[in-house]
Amino acid sequence: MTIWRLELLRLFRTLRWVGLLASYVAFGILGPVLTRYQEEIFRSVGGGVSIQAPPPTPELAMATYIGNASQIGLIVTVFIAAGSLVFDARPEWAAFLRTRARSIGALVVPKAAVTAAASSVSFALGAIAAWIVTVVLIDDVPATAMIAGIVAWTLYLAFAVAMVALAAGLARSAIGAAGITVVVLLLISIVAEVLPAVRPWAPSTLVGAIVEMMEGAPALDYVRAALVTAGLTALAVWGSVRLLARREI
Amino acid sequence: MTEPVVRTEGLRKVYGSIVALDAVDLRVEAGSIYGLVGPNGAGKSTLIGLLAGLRHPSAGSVHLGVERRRMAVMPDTPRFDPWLTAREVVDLARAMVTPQAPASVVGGSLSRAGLGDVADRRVGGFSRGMLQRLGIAATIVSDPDLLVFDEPASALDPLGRYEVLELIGSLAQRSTILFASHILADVQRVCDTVGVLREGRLLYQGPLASLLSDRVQHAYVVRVREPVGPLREALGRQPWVREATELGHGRVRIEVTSVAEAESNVAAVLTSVGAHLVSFEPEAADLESVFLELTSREGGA
Repeated sequence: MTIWRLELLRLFRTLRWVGLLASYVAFGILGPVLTRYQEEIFRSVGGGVSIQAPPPTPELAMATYIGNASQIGLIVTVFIAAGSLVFDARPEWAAFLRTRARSIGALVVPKAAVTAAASSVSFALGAIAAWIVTVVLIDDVPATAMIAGIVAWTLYLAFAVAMVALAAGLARSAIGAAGITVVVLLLISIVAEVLPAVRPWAPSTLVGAIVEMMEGAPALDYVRAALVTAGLTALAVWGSVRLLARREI
Repeated sequence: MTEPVVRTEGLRKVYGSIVALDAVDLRVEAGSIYGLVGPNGAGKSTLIGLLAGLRHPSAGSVHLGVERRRMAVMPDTPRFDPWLTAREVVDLARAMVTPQAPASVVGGSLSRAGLGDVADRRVGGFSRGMLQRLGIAATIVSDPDLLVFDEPASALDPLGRYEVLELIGSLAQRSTILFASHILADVQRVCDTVGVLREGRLLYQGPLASLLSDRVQHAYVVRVREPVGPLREALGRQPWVREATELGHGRVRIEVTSVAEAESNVAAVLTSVGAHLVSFEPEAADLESVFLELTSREGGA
């Protein structure tokens, strides 16, 4: 039994994996379905009111999936990461781990990596589901954009989990750490939208990359954001280890 | 003299305006079973937290004679992820500290802690006593050089306490043990060295036997068949008796000025009043009475 296995067991025995798969794969299937049949849906619930929906396109189908993934999926990821990374919430368990680990990094890295990997796999499965349903119901989807977009999202999810790790060094409760992370991710996103000069560098730019690349944006446009995100991820993990090492139990 | 396994110098810990520990010079010799005693709030858990590196001293220093990872700490109320089995908890402890040790040591540790039969049960349903036993199993699995127990038997029934104290006593053959408790009978039973902590200060530190013998009063308890009044009066008239007190149930406590005279003459006094002797024994000092004397004296000073 290692910390890596401990985190895998946490994922499966506490049914966190169900939450991740449900939030990503379910929306991966629903996104294209809702896009394809939105006019019919509006008509059946509209009570005679005529609503003009845009024609269903693969870009719109994927945007619907990404919209849900970046809200509900991301929040589920953040809370699951907080449940694992805020190990100081229970001092006796913290004492067990801290007095036995070779370093705080030996606790933080596996916990963050397993959650980030599980979230990324769930997102990728959701994206693949959206891809298949879109092809079946609407039209072809460019494979390059999908693959590059999934890579971009994987990086963004790693960044989000690293931010949770950093917040775990500031807050002693899972809710506190999750709350800090959600606010920070939101602020980054708002700043990137308000300041066009920041946008190419902001991690939040990676969220929409999959749809923008489907619309023709070159993958190279996201290299800067990817590099910044990777750097910030490493920095957040380092900061988390520093903060947690200084904390008293 | 060899370097102690644990040595602190002027250790001080302050939380805001509260001084939790002050000028603590702890010294735990290799191979000893050191009992750290003190009332609730004396600073025992704070001291253990500092030794374990879980807290940082406000002043002073901690010196360990062993590698920190060869030191194992068990908190007073161990808690584990409830979806883990007992075997997984102990195996995690093994893998984190001594990954080279074979997995077979896990079962042995669980059995020694009395959890062999429930090794594969999830710990979410464990009682507090079982969690303490699991904490002990997770502590001993890595065969540490220094074991630190914070109230290891506080949640156990008498039989469980007996078993755990026996286990701790047996561990002393290979490890140095620091054992914090407010249950003085437990400390007296297994420890050879004692430190008395009160309001963050170490009032006494040294061999338990010295602590007890230094405070032995020259007193005896005589037990006879009723009535005891004539005997108490006869003893009270003896020049070598400082005070004779009836304790009830046929017992008389005599505080003497001379042990030799008491042992020579008590039989004659018993014969003179025709008392039927049941027992005659010196009054032994126990840790509880010494602790109360020590802490009340320091408290009143």
